[in-house]
Amino acid sequence: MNTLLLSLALLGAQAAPATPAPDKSFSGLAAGAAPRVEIAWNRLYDYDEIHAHLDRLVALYPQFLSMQVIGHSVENREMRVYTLTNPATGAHDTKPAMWVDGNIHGNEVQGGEAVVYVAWYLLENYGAVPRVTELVDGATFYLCPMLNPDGRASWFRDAHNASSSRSGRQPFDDDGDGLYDEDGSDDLDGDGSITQMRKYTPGVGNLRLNPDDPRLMDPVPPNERGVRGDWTMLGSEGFDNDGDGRNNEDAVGGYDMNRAWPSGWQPEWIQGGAGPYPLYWPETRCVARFWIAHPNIAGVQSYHNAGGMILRGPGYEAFGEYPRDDVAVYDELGRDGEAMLPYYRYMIIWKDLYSVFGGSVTYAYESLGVISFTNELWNTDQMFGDRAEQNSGRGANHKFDDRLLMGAGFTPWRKFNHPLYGEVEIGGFKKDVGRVPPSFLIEEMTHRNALFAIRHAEAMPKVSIVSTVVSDLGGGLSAIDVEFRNERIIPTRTARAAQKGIGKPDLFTLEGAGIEVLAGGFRTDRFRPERLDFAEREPAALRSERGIPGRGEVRVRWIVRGRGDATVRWQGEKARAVSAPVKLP
Amino acid sequence: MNQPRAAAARALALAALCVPLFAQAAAQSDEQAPPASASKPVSSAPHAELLARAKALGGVATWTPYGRSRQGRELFALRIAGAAQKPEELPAILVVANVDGTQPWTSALALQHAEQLVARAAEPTVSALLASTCIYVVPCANPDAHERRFAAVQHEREATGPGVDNDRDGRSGEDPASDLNGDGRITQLRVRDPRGEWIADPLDERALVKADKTKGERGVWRVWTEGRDLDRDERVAEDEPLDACVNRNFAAEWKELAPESGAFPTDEPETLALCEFVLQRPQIALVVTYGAFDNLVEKPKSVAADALQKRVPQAGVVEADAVLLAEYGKRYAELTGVKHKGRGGDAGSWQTWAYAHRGLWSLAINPWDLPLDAPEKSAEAKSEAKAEDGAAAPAKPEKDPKEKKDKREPSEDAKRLRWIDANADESWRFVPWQAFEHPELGACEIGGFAPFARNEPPAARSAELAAAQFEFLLTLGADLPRVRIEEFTAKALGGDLHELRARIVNPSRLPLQNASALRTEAVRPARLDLELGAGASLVAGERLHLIRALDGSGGRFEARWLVRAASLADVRLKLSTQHAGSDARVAELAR
Repeated sequence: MNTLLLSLALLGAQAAPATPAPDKSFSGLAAGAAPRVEIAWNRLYDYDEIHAHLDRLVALYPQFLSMQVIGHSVENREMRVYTLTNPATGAHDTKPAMWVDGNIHGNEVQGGEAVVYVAWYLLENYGAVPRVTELVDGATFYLCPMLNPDGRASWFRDAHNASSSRSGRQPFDDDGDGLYDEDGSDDLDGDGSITQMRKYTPGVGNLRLNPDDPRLMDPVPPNERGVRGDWTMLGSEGFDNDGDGRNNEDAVGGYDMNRAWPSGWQPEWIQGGAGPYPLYWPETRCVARFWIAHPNIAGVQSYHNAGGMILRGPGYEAFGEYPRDDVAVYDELGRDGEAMLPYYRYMIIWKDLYSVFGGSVTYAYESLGVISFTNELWNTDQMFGDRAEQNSGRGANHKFDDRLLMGAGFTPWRKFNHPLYGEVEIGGFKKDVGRVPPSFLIEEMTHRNALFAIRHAEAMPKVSIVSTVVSDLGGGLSAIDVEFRNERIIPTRTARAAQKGIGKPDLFTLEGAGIEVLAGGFRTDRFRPERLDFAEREPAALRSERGIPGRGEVRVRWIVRGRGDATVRWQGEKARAVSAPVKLP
Repeated sequence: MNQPRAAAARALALAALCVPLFAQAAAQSDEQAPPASASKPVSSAPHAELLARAKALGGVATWTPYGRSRQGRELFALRIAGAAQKPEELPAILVVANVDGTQPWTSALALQHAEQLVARAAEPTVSALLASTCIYVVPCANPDAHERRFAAVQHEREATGPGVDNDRDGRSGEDPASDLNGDGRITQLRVRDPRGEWIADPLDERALVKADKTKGERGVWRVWTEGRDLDRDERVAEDEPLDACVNRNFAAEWKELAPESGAFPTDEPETLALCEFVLQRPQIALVVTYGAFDNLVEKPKSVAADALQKRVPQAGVVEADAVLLAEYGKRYAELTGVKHKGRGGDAGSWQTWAYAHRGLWSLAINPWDLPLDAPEKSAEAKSEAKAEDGAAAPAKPEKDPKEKKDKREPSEDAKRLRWIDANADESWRFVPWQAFEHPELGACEIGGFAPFARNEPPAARSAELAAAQFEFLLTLGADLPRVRIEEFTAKALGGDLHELRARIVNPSRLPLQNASALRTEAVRPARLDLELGAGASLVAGERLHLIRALDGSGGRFEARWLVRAASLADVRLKLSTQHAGSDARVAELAR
């Protein structure tokens, strides 16, 4: 009875909005710590549960976290974006923003959990971990946990394998027969996953059972003795539902929402899954519109699975390498990511993976000028760590499954009477083996990847005014020298944005009631003040395409007549505006 | 269930076969006795008027709204079809006008086509066309830009979508064009400036040509669109509030980050609506677009079907299609006499998207432009024109042409002026340069070609031109691919075993899929289903054939099956396509 009362009391405390206690945190230091919102990070959650976690956070931290619906999916699920910042220090759109999304591919579910983790980690540690506090005060996070909610819902609800349900759910005629989605896979053995079919074909197959582990099959290559295998693989579990002589060739959907974005987009026959025009599906279009409407977005992370990669563009070789200054930013963050994410490699999409036309992160960089990454969460190398000898070969999944999951990830081969093939065997790994980690490794994955996005957010530009110096030039004239500094890695305008004229140029202004600005410009030499790239017009409001470089300075000199109080100011799209008073004696 | 449909399909196929004959007949009858309405001038009209006329049309036309423009004007089509049971399932032609927005006359032209089809629906040519073909007409695909032709100040400008900061000064749209001299038209402004790149054409000082520095020519004039320099950056009218253009906003060869392209393909509501119009009507096989572009007079750039740069295709029309397009070019030239080339490129255009991404036949027509030909005219007319020039243009020293060292050709603009001078009613097309004291630039001159001067044929020419365009349109229906089952026979092999043979034929000129459709796979293959009743079973053969390629002019596909069937009534063949009709048959015993 007492225990019950205590639990109720705790629940009550959790439900009511509470002011965060500054001495409590859940930074990752485990001894004696307890988060205010308990989320079991050893599970994967369905669409509603993901939102429920975030809604609990909104309920407890309404001052920092808010939700908006930016559109609806094909099956009319809400497309939600959660905005996280401290509005007391400025509105969300006046601060540099980090966009984090997950699950654009329906089956790549764990990105959703990683997005929730970003919100949870920041909120749990606000007020206790100074760097978190600074970030929540000084930056904004736009968090979209599921870019493909329909695909996610289907992956949880329906029978799938690790790679199916990548698409959304809009009907698509994959096989060009005029019928839509009429021949998907079928869960013949009812185990909730789409596994494999094999048939015993003595003397005419190309496979034989592995003598040590008959769950595995070994290829029998053609040989001079004429020995052939006894087994034939028949592909994924299913029927030829439409009677066209092919199995499972037209499942629900059949497109790729990460081939739908405008930069370098190519039509279906060049890039499968692209759709009839860019941003064809509502899920993609509402996000692109959100990005365009929020020029304060200065960093993008899009969580996918799997393979352990930190990916950046370009997606296609002929697009050419990105400008050198931006590559330096990418490299610094990417290499840091490799350190933060063991078993992950920092890679260039076209070069190290494959060509992709119309990806979302390449759009974010190439069209919007935003430094952006795709992380591919989970690498099967992580199953056994460095013990490579145990981690090699086709049996690795079995070894892991047998030892650490008591064999639960594998549906043993069982006989099935197939209407076309006769007696076959059905079996194989379940949908949550191979591309998502087992429960006990999920927390590590979400933490490391969330912290990489948070690290990326810390790299967003932060401008300060280092010094303002007024010099008397005689004859009532003064020079005002101002040094502006960007303290962070990412420039206020990426080289791409500067080259292509994306967004607004940075603005450096001087205003004062009693002064007349006669000239103004950017100093090209730190020691020789007369070397000045001075503006042809509007010297009081200088514009710069290049902005302020990462961890660098811009020095401005104004020549003015007059006296009194004045204000110098920097204003740009991707950092908070700063100003400082100047007094002309 | 299948019988009447099969009969209808055969009738259609027959009609299709007949069309080439009566297309010629039509050409003759038009020459002999043009309908009364054809002699009425076809003149540009505001969107509201086009809309009212389209709505009131009735008859064989069905009002088909399909969206709204950015400023909320209704986007509409007319579906014109005969008495067929399901006209929306017939192979279809789509006529689209003025996607550019600067070609308002073509909107009147397209609407007049629709009106002609309705008025003449009972004539054999038209009724045969409509029995076999559904015609969609979109008279005004870009109404917001269209309306500039009828605004208090006329401005020939395509852009209707969001603006960018063209001059990169941190402000967007702060320095638009304006009608400084209050003549109700945005023309040009020229200023004497050593930075200028232009000189007056020595053969007609009203025309401007680029100074050729290699010939020692130094620029005299800087030329701008008429307007203020509101942001005082010494550039005039360089930052309009609107930049994105509907006909640069399609996905094919879209130019990323160009101001006219829009934020992303299909961001413009007019663009998106037109794309969806086509996607929702897969029966459309051919598109005729009236606008600034042309691909009939001038043979478009062609590329080999496999011309890829790595994975990305080279821009252009695939060779096999270019050959057929050239045939249309010949027919077009014969029927209309149009000889001038079109304007503009392919980047982001509707015409290119329809062909390159959707695999549709895309005929791009620019019906009229200011002629470059030297007009025939009398000696008095010539001297008169000269006298007028002298009054309007700055003083021009008389020179003996023999003294000129270079025998230069008149510039294209000078040629256009020659035509204007020769046609008394056409003087509106050029606004003589007149001195103007500009608030920011000081002394300058305002003048030049009037808005829409190159886009509106003279009223006296318009009826004849429209009739010729209409005549060309009428010939197109017969060419659309239309597949049919030419033979479906059964040979008895003893017992109830039969060998079936089927032959599918496309008698039309155009192939089932053009080369673009074959590579884009945007048009689905024809589907041939062997349908067996309860008393029949398949012994050998494919129950379903997907036929992707089928040549025009008699291209065929043959298939064989072995079936057991007590009665051939149980053995049926069904043919269905996306845009080439359908057919069905019951097997007949072979003779």
